[in-house]
Amino acid sequence: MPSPDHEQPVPQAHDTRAADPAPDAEPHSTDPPSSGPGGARRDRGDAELRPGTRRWPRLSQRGEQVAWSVLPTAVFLALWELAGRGDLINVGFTSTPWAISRRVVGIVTTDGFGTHAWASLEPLAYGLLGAALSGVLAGLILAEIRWVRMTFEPAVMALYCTPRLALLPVLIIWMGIGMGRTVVIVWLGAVFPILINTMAGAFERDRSLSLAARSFGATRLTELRHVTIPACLPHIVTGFRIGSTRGLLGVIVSEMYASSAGIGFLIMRSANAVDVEGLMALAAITAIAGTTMTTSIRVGGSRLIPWRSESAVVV
Amino acid sequence: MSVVRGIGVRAEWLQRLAAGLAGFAIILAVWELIVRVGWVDPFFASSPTLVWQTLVEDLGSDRFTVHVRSTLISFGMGFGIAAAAGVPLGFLAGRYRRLDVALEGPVWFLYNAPSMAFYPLFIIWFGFGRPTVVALAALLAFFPIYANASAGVRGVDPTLIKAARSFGAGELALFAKVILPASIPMVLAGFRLGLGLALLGAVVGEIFGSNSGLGYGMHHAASFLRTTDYFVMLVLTVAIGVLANEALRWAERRLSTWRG
Repeated sequence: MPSPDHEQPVPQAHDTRAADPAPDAEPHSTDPPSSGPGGARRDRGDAELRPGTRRWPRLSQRGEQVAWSVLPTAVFLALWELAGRGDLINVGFTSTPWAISRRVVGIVTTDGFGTHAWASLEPLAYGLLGAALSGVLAGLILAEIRWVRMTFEPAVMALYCTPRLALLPVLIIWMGIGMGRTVVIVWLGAVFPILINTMAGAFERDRSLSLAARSFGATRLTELRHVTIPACLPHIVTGFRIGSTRGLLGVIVSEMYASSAGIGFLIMRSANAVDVEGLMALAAITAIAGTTMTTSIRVGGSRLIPWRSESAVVV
Repeated sequence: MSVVRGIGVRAEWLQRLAAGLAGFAIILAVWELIVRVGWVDPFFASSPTLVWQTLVEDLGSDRFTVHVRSTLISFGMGFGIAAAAGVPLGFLAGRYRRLDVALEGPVWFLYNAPSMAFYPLFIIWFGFGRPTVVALAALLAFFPIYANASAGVRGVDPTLIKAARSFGAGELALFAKVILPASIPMVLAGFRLGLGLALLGAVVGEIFGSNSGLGYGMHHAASFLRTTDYFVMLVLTVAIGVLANEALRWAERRLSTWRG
């Protein structure tokens, strides 16, 4: 988890803690709504990026750090298990970690599980792909063309700060209960974080690079390809990571609302049987899936754009 | 000088307002046109004029305000719980490295889980209706509030802390006089994200497990193919989201100005 240089007290920007849980990153990254050119937020961003603001009291040893990251959770799980076995808590309501993990294995190794997993993953993949393409495109258009931004940014922001999942009931009317509706729900959830982060990235890029490119005769398209898009990439990765979390939520909600296959369907089936152990196991499976997805986007993102780590730029 | 700039700012502000309104107008016009031309049956898509008429006629009656009130209560309670838990915990995690390390794994794990997966468990634990809706809203809103509060504390300029320390500030005075004021902008940024997610949690919770609130109302209206009622409530939901967001932005501006 933590990078090797995690503990070095060398004054650095945010990237000293690049291994942070990413909720850390989200605040800044979803912030930029208001950071249009000259937005009130810009100066604040500078203050946060000032080097050396992240000095940590040093943990004496790496071992101690590992211990602190593992032991509290382990102790909690052990107490939970013991309380369950000793009948101190009602196992019917809470189950126990051991039973849940056995159930996770049981569910995953069931024959039909592959079908259900695929039923959830397929719309997720299509929706995220669509959201990435349209979000980046729209973000760049909004950032680069002033009148489009002035006209549509307020509408985009209004949609951004409202629960798009509320469209689920009407999407059922329009599109039925097939996969198409879930794809749209995923897209709706994921496209706005991507769009807004792309836009923020385009705004916050180093303008002198654009000037340099222009003075060497770059056309608008060349500038876009060689300056703007590379500068936006870290933001796009952040947006995509947040968007994929929202997309996963969308899939589960959509399937729970109406479907006959998928993880959300399995959750509702367990819910109707008041099967707490199964519900816990399914929640754990979705959490593992989500964590795997976002962690690989983070890691993949920093491989893809080695020149800047994701959290170093999110403001 | 300042007068000139003031006029410039006002002109730009007006331009922005006009353009933004034009944006909404375009979207509504397209919607209206699609229905008027007959490409889509208003039975399925309603239309802006229908929505407006219903909104104006029924806003005085109980039909929608009951739901708005219910959603506002759940939303407020969920957000309140998330803030009451997230800010202190975030402050402590930001200040004490060990706590941060201990919470990092579980928080990251739960943050990445689609919170709705916990909804049936909430129903079993807390019961149908408001408790579950509030729990879902609080769960969703907790993460950004917690993460921003801890990032805010971690981002406090160490020289300020050193200065306060060398003037003899204890841990409590340090928190009250240095860390808290310096991290307010980040905490508010977290609040703004948390508001959006709390509303999401409240509405989705109501769609599934409640018998009041805008989420329930939308679900109900859609089940009976009353698309106009559905869109009225969607508009009201959007209004709550936008107003909450703007209120927080205003607070951010007010509370951040002194930082220079």
